[in-house]
Amino acid sequence: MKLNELLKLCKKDDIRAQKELYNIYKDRLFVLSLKYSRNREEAEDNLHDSFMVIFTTIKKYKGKGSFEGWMKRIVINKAITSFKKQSKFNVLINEEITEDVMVEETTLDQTSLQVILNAVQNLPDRYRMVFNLYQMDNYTHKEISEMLDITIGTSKSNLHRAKVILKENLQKLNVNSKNGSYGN
Amino acid sequence: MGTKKEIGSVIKNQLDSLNVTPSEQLWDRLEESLQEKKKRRILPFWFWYGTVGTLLIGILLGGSFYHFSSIYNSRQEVTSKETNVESSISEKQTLENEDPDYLLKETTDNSLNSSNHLSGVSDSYNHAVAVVMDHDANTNTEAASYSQNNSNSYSRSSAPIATNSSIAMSIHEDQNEYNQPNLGDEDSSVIKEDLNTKRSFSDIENALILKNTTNTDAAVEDSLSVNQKEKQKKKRKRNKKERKKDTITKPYVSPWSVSVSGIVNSYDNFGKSSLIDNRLDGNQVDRDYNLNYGIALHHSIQDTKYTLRVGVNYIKYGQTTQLENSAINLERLQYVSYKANPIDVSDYLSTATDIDIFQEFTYIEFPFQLRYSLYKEKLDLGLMVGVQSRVLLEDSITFKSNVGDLEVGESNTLFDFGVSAHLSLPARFKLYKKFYFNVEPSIYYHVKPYEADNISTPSEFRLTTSLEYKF
Repeated sequence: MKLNELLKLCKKDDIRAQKELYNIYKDRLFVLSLKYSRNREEAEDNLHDSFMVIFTTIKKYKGKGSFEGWMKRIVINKAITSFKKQSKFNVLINEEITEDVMVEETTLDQTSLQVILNAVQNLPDRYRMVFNLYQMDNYTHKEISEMLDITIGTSKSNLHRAKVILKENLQKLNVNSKNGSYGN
Repeated sequence: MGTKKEIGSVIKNQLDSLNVTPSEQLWDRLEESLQEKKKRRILPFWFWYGTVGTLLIGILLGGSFYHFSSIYNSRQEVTSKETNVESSISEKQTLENEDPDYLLKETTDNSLNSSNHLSGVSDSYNHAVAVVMDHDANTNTEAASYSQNNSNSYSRSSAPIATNSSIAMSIHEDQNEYNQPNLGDEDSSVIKEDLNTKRSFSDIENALILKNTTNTDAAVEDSLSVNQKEKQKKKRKRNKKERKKDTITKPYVSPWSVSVSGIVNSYDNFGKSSLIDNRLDGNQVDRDYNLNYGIALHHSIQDTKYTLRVGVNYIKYGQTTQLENSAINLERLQYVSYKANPIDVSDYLSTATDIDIFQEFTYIEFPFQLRYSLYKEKLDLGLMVGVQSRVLLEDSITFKSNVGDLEVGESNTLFDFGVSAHLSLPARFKLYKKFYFNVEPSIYYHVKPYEADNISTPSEFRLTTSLEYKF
């Protein structure tokens, strides 16, 4: 079934069409949700809430822009809202560090995707949010600052700190891996 | 040593190829949540439509019952009146033919009746006299003059002295027939007094003498027949006049009609106060013109220019507030009771730009109206006033922007119940047989529909067009 026909049926609350739409996009949106979440359970909760919003507001989708992009924005917004609710203490770091954190191109070649994902998920919440928004989903620091209610400087600083932590963690994993301890 | 790359890009490239599937149970959870949400939406829909349907059926059944019972009653009334009139006329004619003194006696009885001395007289007697009085009041006066013009004599208490004893007997028989046995002595004496005041015995005597001599005196007979003809002529004329006055003789016209209407409404809060938040007072508000619906039952009050009307109207209002002040926190608007998940609202606001706030509320109204026809021809122009109670059916506030719409909640300042008054200038055109077309421009005044005191009371203009059917 074509996407347009599927959307028409979904707008009429057709449960079979909704399931079909879910099956088409669930994996892509779940990966996105995983990157913004601390673990699989949280990612599933986020995906559930996102699909609820998608199905209940699909009538209002006007067909402008990519439908997948529209759904992705919903998933990201859900994650941010969840983060805002959970983060009780805001650590105000306003140091502007813009230096790039470099690694060798082949550093992660031997590292499994699951390990890389875990490294991202284990970042402190704020760092994870900024890293994903900026690095994975191409938001600007200005947009991130508005979305997370932080300054642009804090966003840049958080991004830098996220990269530093990721580099340290991944290098440790690589060393352990070379020592034969990876995967234990 | 290999080429160095920025760590963020390296991780992005790696994770782009990641493919993970959520657990199988996730869809089941999602399906359950969707079904629950659907149920919540369906319940109020059926509840309200059921209520409105029941009310309409009740009004129509009640109206029909009243209508048919009034037709039945009026028909019965006509039949019984006609029967009474016919029987009393025929009875009277018989009496007149058989006993000319009946007129005399009836006159006496009427005078008794009007003097309130008939306390002991039975109802049937009263009724008979009353009917005769109604329809032949003239006859009585004529009878009096008839008696006065003749020179017979009559005595009730003493022995009949008249020259003809059979006449005296006949008078006695007549009296026994019409006077009730329980008419006491006291009453009789009063009756006699009245008789004395109304008629002199000599006059009555004269009448009897005249009767006695009728058969032998041809000249008198001629004059009597001339008199009777004149009397009958006058009687016919008067009966004709009576019939004209009598509404029962007019063809029956049903006072009931029903109408289905389309209503276009427009309203304004002249104080520029916002229904969303007082910080938005003075912001541009675009108000919708909505097409609404109504149904009404009309009852015209017979022989007057008044019509009563009850009905049910479904009225919708819609308005869009332009956000000129972006500094306002849309997650905390003053007159909004948020129903949407705060996460959804937050999500929406974080991505949306150019947000407008759309508010929609719907009432079901029960109007009671009184219409007065100023000019009642084929085109009927009038004046109408009415009051109505209103019940808030639906109420929603929605954010609209480039990313779509999000219903966030409802107003916390609209009262669920309200009262309005209105003034209309209705016009009615006869279309075909029992069909009429109504046009009614109206001004409505709603009595304090908002809890917040600083919001001005709205005024509303409505143009109602309806198709009316007389049944």
